[in-house]
Amino acid sequence: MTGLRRFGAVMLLAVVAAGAIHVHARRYTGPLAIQRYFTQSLPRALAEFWRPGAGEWVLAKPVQQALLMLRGHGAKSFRMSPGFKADLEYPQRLTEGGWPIRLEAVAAWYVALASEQVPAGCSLVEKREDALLARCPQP
Amino acid sequence: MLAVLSLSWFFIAGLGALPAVALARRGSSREPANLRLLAAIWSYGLCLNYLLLLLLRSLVATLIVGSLLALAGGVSALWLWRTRLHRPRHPRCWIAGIVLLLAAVVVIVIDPLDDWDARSIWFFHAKAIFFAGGLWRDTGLLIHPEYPLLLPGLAAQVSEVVGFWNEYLPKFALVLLLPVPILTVLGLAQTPGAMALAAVGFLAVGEKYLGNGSMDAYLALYAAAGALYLADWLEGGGTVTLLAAAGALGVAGGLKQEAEVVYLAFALSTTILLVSRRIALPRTPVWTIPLALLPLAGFLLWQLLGHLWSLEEGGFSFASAWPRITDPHQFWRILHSVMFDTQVRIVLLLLILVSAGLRAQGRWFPRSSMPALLAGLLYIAGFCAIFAMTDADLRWHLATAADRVVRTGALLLLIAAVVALRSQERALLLARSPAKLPPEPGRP
Repeated sequence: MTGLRRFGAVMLLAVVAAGAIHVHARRYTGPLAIQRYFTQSLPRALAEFWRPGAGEWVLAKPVQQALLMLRGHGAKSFRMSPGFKADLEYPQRLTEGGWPIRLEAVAAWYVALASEQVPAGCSLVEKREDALLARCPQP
Repeated sequence: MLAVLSLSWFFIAGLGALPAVALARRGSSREPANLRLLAAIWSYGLCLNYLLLLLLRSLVATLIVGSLLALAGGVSALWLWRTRLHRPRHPRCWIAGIVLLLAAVVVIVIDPLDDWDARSIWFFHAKAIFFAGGLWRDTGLLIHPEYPLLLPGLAAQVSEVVGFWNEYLPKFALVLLLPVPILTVLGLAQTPGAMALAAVGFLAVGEKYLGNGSMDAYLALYAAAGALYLADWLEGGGTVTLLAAAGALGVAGGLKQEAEVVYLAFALSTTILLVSRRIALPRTPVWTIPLALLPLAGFLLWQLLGHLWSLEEGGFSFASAWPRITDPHQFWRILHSVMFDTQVRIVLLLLILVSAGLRAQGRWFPRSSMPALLAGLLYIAGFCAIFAMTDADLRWHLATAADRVVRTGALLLLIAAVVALRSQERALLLARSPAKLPPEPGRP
């Protein structure tokens, strides 16, 4: 029993230390910082940890939505609109986040920001708040 | 799933049992709780796992063959050491180390992948390896395909074991890199001042870099661990310290390309010090030489594969260097960002303070600290030359990379200070009570 208690104490100490490091590293300030770790960060991670594809909430909204649409329609490759390419981060995040769906210049699936027009000849397949997915004839 | 992930500890330790088996058979070390031996075991495990992945290519084949080897190695090592197992000498240090490791597990795995380099390079490579089922020519290493794959391979193996990819679990591979730096610090427990200095230096790397997959941080820690074990070996620590140094430097070679500069700096510094007779290499049994070279096999094999697959990328040229070296403004910019980086300045100040302490005792810097000191200076000077040769915009390159890559040089200099401080503490301990003098590292 003493061994079990000691193990429990070590584990508890480790979790509290992790909280302190996490709060410090994220530069959370104020008296509720450690509480935010125990009530938000830790429970969310524990709930998501075991799910395939979890954790993509760190990505920008248009990227998240584009990924969901590409996967939902079983795309194997895609290309991006000028609006998507213009952002410094979106093309990079979409390429690595979407893998093994590959970025190809001649892909039929076309990802664009919701505010953009679908190119002539392409048909809109799905539109979400920040991104849309279209299907285009392959050149 | 937790149980499956827990097996990774036995997998790495079993794979790396080779130094333990060799040392037990040769009777070179009689202390199983020797932290240097444990560090050697862990780093050999990481290096051999990397070598297996590069040789077998398939993730499943690597895991099956690796598990069989780990089982054989682990059982052999435990059998050979069975009569010599006893309680560790510093149980509090062990508890502190375990708490630190467990805290690191929580801190590292609780946040999804977020850092740019971690997402775009290291874990993107891991994802590509995972979805391809192994490392092939067409695996899909899109960005910096020539970068070494020790961590991506490990992260892909973690995902293969759990059966899926998400943004949390592959980061567990980072936790598997932490035992050697922790064991390196704990190994200094007999000299608290040196231990505190090393601990502060290692922790100063920061959670931002260690927790989100910056390989610069891990390269710095492993180069520093290698430098400390090398100093132990020069002080007569025996074969176990040589193997610990070789293992740590072997892991460094699998982490990031800058390890080539680390190797060059160590080779140059050791040669200079040997030729100038500042240091002398301890007598080493012949059988340890191939064993000490084994951790470098993964690094060398990846160089070969990179050449065969034409993965080399340019980006540096002598033509870019000349105008920068001859232009005082540009030259100063490089020196300011690399040679006079804040981390380097702080460590140099520390070296001056330790040096003053040594002089107050009427002593000089110990010779065993010289390789780390010279290697650190050469590494930093080398990076001044590398930045001068960049084909990219100098200002952008310095702003985005200088403080990351110089970290390794700063930690090498810090290790020189740690070794010097340790020598000072030992001298003080000897002066106060000769009976309490700690035994030399690795010696029975």
